[in-house]
Amino acid sequence: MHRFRRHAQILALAIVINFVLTADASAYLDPGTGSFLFQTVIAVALGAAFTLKTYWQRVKGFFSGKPPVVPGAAAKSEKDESGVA
Amino acid sequence: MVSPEAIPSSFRDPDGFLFTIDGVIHRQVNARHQKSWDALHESGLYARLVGAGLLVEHEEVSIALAPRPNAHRVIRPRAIPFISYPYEWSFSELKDAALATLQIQRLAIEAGMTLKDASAYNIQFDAGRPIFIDTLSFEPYREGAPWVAYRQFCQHFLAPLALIACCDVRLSQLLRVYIDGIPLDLASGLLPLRTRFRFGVLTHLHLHARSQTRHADAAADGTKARSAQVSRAGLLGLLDSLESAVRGLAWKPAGTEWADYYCDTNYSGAGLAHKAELVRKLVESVTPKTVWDLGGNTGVFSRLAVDAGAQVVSWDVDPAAVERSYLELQREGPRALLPLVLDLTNPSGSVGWANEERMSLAERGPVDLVMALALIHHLAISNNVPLERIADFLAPLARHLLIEFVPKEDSQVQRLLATREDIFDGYTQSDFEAAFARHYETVERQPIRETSRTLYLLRRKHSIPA
Repeated sequence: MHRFRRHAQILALAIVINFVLTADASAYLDPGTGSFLFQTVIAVALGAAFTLKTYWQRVKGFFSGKPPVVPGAAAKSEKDESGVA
Repeated sequence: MVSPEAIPSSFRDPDGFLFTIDGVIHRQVNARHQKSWDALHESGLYARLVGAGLLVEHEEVSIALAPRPNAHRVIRPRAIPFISYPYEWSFSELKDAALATLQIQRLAIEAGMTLKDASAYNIQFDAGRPIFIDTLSFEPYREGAPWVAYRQFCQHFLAPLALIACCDVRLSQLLRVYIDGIPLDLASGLLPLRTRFRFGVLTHLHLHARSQTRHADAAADGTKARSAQVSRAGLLGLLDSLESAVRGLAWKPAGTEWADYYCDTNYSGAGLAHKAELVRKLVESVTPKTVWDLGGNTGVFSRLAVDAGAQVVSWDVDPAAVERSYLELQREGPRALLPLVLDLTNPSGSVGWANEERMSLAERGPVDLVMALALIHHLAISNNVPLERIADFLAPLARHLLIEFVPKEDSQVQRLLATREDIFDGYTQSDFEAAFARHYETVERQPIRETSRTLYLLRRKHSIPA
């Protein structure tokens, strides 16, 4: 019983330390309340648009016989061609 | 070994800091960053970013070199030839830095990591390409977590890019005042009405700024923000939208001072060819490792110094000339050249916390050779700076000086004097020689063919203290 309690204490401590460390990890930069809340709102719409765009690229790729182009990867290939990052 | 010295620009992030040993940059990674540090390597992200030329590589050195307690690692990053700042970049340099930051964040998400900051100061230019230098900026991505650096990205990159593209290129200099990026309410207020019809600018600047104002003082919103959730798809959508916004901004240099300077000089073809030949010969005779070309315009003569094997920074007051030089560099491929914007009459000072976070121009010198071609008349006549003062300014920067004297009878000087009284009795060739003789001895003195100009190669009389 005593051993169990000790293990439980260590586990609880580990959870607390982990929580504290994780919380600290992103605490150094103040994200700004208005920016954070705004991001959660627009991310819903932008995420949906992005998902649709990804599927659309796959559909286009399927019919054109070309491998699907993932948005963002398109930017990379453009960079490679122009030599401009 | 000289005892380690902390670098004043690196103090905000508790996960580690930069210091130098015998002038070589090192970074201490603190124990609190261990989990993130290990994840950066184990996820393969470090190798992938370094392989893509997006992150500066480092080697691990003995932990015994750590100057402070609680070190997890000590690393020695590869040295970047020259540290520049966003207020010295041209439009495309800032734009490429923004795109590189987004590309890095996208690769980080793929690897289960995320960027915990998006400061433009974390990007430097190496052989003409943007590269991320803060290896401590990565932490494990937690599913559902919003991007903590979203605001910083908009302030450091999107706001100045939009202001340059949609208002005026000179607004880039706001970055000198606001070193954590341009406040979004300020950017939103300055941007013209038509920018509200551009989706990216409307969303990430105008509406974003309004949201910041609305939630500025509400403590209850802070609690709500801490529990905010953004799905992975939402985060990728946000990055995609930011990238479209950045790519959609363009700036075409037009009507600025010197962008067409080489089409508008009093040099004949033979005169210009002779000047280039002299510059090449004199630069090669010095075999400099580091060169600053002051008033470098589009970098024609800077490139001669690159060809001579030097790391060259080509400074010019005209953002259009710097932009052209940078775009030309992208076409040429990797070269040891960095075109930057600088107003020599008010050069970059030491700014930031305790006036020592960002280095002044002088603090980033001295260099082996300073080139000052077709420059002196602009300083002495357009800006009323006496020749002695010009010599005093250049002396601590340059071990060697390649400088062109442009006499009063030169048509370019006559143009500067056309609308003003000639109060410059002290602007003669002998005054010039006397002013510079206080610091320099003459190695070569060569008249340039078909002009009344003279090219001097000067060498410091006394070595410059480090």
